Amino acid sequence: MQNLIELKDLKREFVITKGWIKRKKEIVKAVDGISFEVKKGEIFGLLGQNGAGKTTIIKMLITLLAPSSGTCKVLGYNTYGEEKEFRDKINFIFGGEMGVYKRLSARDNLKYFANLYYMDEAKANKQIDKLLELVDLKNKADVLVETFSKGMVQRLQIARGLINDPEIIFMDEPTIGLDPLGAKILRNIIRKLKTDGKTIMLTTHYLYEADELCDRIAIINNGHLVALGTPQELRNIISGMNTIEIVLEKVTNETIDVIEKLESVRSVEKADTDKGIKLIIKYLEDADISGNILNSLSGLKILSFNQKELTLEDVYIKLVEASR
Amino acid sequence: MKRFINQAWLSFKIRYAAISFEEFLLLESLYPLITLAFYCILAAYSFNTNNLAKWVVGNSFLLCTNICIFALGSAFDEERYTGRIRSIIISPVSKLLIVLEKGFFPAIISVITVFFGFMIGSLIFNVDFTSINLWLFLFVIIVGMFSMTGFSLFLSSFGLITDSMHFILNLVANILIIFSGANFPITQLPQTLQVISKIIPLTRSIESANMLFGGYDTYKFVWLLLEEMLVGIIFYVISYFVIKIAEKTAKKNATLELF
Repeated sequence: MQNLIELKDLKREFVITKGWIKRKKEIVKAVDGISFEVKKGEIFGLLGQNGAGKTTIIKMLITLLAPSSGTCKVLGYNTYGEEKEFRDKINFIFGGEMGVYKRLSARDNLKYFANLYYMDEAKANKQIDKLLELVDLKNKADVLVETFSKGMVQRLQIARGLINDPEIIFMDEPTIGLDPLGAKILRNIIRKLKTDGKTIMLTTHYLYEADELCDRIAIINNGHLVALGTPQELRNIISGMNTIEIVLEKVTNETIDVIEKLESVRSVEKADTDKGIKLIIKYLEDADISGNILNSLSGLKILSFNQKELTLEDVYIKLVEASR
Repeated sequence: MKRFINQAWLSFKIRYAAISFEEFLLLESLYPLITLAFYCILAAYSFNTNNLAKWVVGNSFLLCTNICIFALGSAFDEERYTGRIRSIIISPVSKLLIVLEKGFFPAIISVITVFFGFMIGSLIFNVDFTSINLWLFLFVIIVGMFSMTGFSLFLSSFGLITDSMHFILNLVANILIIFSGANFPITQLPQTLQVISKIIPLTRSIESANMLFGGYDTYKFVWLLLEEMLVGIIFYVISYFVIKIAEKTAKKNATLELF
């Protein structure tokens, strides 16, 4: 499949000046040698902590920022120097309330942004109606944005980001500030865009969202690429361990020893909680040990039993901590 | 053209939608008139004269600074502060066009403000304008505003790379007050500082407007207006390149979203 986005040893440094009279310059490496490609039609997730370099990468891709070095290409063109060649084919959706004209109505906002793409008036009006319906703002189309709730502004941002029917959409924490319904609308929009053949790059702190939507995910930390793969491939990286959490009224050390000696069990941790004594049992992913564990707990009062599969969040935390 | 007018109208709405029509009228008439009155009264006492035609003319031209300098000059600056600059920068639209669209209606308002500022100022300070050709006077204003718009475009480009636009715009507004000849005769300025008067807009349109009050040399009058237009054209051309350079610099120095 064709690569629409190509990053090769991409670096971006920021020079920060400190002091008023005696000035000191400090160089911050926000992105430090990142390489990956995004294929046509893919939803590509970019995960990382605050300050990891996600937004800087997106800003370089949408032509807001020049790379310090390395290759940063969109649709085969350099994002700095050749941006004219592809500007009409990309757009972005950033989280937060900034970026729209609050003294204009939703419709006028979209008219203004459509004009930035030299859109034909009839085509623009059709697209505006379609988008207002998509983001559920049709009945508020002619109301001033300053009266909108945070979620409504964010939905307008989504419509703005789709105004030119872009081939590639960059989304930086698009669900931030959205209520559950708004977030669901956006996730459905993302799925629809994918079926329409659009390519999406998404950053988010909600890992379940990335797990649910993304075809491939890159985890970055301190400007470096930590891992790259499908959500399942990332799970496989950390050795395929599952967890069972059991809360008991009381438990003896002998019982814990018995569980520890069970085949496939790799560790048992004991913790006192308000509800009782919690055992956290880690075991190999493919093993079925719940029956054996319950047998070894016979006669004890079980308050709760929770079998947890490895989540993307577990993977993310492990990988980010390991990269520090 | 229709797209340009639509976009200009939306830009105008963005700027003025928050205020009522009455507030708009007061903002665009009362405030400039009080400024004009201040300088005319100052001139009357400083130069001990009752003939205030020069100051009424000069300061009525300076009424446009409120709109041209501060509204157009801060075009990019405002977009940066509200996070909307991202949408503008990544879109294919010409950035020069953005400022022109933002300045279109304000420039028309400037012409009206200057014209009515002059009329009302004349009535207050007993300046006889019945003997002058008002259509010609209006034409001089339009030429002056053309030149000022070019100058404001040039200023606006700095909004992409610096967050000190308030300082720059206030400085420029005061430079115009001192060096345009509206309040002080240019010939009384030191020789080196007279260069500033020659490169800024309004100097020649103020001089040509003043010429309408006496017998004037048509050749010199036309020449001054041509020079004023040339100053405007030069600023438009410079702005075209400076905005491109400023955009590139802003991307390199990451100043687009620094505030």
